Amino acid sequence: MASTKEKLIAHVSKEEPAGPTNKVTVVGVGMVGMAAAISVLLKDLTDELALVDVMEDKLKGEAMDLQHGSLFLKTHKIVADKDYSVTANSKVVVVTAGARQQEGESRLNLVQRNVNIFKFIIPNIIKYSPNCILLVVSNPVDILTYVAWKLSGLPRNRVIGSGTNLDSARFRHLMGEKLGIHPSSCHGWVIGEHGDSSVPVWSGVNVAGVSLQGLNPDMGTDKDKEDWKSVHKMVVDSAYEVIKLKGYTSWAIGMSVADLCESILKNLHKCHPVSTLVKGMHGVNEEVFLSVPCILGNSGLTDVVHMTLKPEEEKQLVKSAETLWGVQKELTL
Amino acid sequence: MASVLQKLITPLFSGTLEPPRNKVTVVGVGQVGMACAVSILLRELADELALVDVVEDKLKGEMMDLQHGSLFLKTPKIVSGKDYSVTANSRVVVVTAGVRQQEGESRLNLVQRNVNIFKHIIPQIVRYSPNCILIVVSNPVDVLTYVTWKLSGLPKHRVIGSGTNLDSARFRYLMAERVGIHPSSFNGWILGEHGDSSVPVWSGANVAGVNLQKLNPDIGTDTDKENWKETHKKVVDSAYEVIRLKGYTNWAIGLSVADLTESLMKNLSRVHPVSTMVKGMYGIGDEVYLSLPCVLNSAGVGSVVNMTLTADEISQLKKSADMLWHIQKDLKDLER
Repeated sequence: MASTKEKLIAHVSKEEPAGPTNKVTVVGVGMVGMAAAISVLLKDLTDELALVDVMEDKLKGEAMDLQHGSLFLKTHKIVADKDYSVTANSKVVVVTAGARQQEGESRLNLVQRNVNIFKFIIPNIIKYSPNCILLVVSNPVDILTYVAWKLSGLPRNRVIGSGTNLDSARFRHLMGEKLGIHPSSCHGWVIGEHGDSSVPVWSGVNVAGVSLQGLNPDMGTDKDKEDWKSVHKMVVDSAYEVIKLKGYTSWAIGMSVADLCESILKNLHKCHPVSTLVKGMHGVNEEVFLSVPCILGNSGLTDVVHMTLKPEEEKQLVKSAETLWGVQKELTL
Repeated sequence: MASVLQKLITPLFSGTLEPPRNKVTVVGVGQVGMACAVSILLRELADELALVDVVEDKLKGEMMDLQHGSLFLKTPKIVSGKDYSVTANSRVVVVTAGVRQQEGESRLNLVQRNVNIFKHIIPQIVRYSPNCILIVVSNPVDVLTYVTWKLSGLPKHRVIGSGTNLDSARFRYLMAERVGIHPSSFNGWILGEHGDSSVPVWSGANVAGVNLQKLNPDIGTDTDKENWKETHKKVVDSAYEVIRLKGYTNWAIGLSVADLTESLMKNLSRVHPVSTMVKGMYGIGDEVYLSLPCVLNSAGVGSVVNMTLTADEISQLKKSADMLWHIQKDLKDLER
């Protein structure tokens, strides 16, 4: 006797349904991972979302909660498992796994704890998605992107760190508040280390092509009466402040990750400040990852925009590189 | 000496700026409130978002975290405060404040704790946004929507409970999975109480207008060999299960609230199963809120669809109504 489904639906297609074309995996279902997941879902970027974590109950609960919202979404398949086989054939894998900063703790402190976690995660990702693009978010992001690159064996265009994409977004928000303009019309690039020694490139800050430093040559210095330098300081302090107030940050980083995923999945060739291998650029001699403006598309990070930096700005990048290398060379990979 | 701002920009208009036209307030910045906020932001439904709570640090932190994402959003103003003046001129106010179910706790247990919180919240909301539409999410939602209606003094069409919008979404997801289609192509309604005694209207379940009950007259009964009734049971158990696994639910309810907000803000006149005042319908004599298919537009609940229900389904609604009234009649100090 035919089931209700058989009476309702006649199967037509003889082909196997094609696999996912834009699959995104998020590794780690903590606050950052889930913020990235919901942002990716609400921006309709993917036809399949996979979640992975070691905490099985939490993982299953998060997946169920997202699935229950399927009516309102355009992502038909949401899967989750401790086993990495669910991540197979991903186009983009977002890595948020690892320990996060405690109140007052710097990102560099987290290193060794997170390296050990990555030694398990990265090979598993590559095993099931050898052609993916890795987007590393876990902190300290520049070092962990280097670690992910080494552990994965992927070419450097396919390992990207979320880097200063968020710092620049925060900078543009604060700049927008100061000028009464939407952040998307305020242009400013924060590059280098995602963290305490990030570099605001004052010479590039502009609205409609009008250089703000051209209007105010003291901008970014201590002499500046308008104290624009404090805008950058607020960016650096942002994460610490939000962590102090609510325990962690999630929404902004989640949205910035979705922004990067969009450029990759839709092959936009958009320019973002993300963390890439900068050896040989701006006087950097070490194999380190720092954020510079990069072109992102479906092959990953295909080009780097060479910024015209002042000598002091380049010196800062070189100094960050040395600090990062100082930490990296002690790691056992 | 002119500042950068003065050199950069020549103002053309010096009057007072227009107040926001599409302002949404979310009361309560717990997991549900923030999921509603993020869903509303990412769906670009509001030109201003206000957050209110009593825990000031958490409130400020959440606001800052959202503001830091403003580059990626189309909501230019995100504000917060313990004081309800930040909520002024809201079109829609989403109330998620209150305590939530502990593992194994039923929604009805939460009542009195949440009534006391609402006595403080609701009058303040209405004071600053007398023309708003209230969406109540806090549980037990049907009782608290009634409480909100009483405390607000607003006409009943402007006070809505998120009700079985989520149950129906879960139902459609689970049913659609069984049939192999997208939830939006599976039509099914769960009405009545948001909770253990919700009513799945099996007579209406259809795909492309093909009525499933006609294909399988046993559907929803205990004699059904395919055990479709199990799907409704899974809906009822859903919240308990997700709470057991991750401690709370938030994403699905957040998405469902954004869906309701969209119909209200954009005057869509879409039909949603939400909690509305049902006295006078289906033989219900008490002032209770239960979910029925409501047409939502910019005035709130524009009208209610008269579902054709079986005698058994009507009696289930009446039973829920009786149970809710039994709880409500003992609540004190609800008159404005």
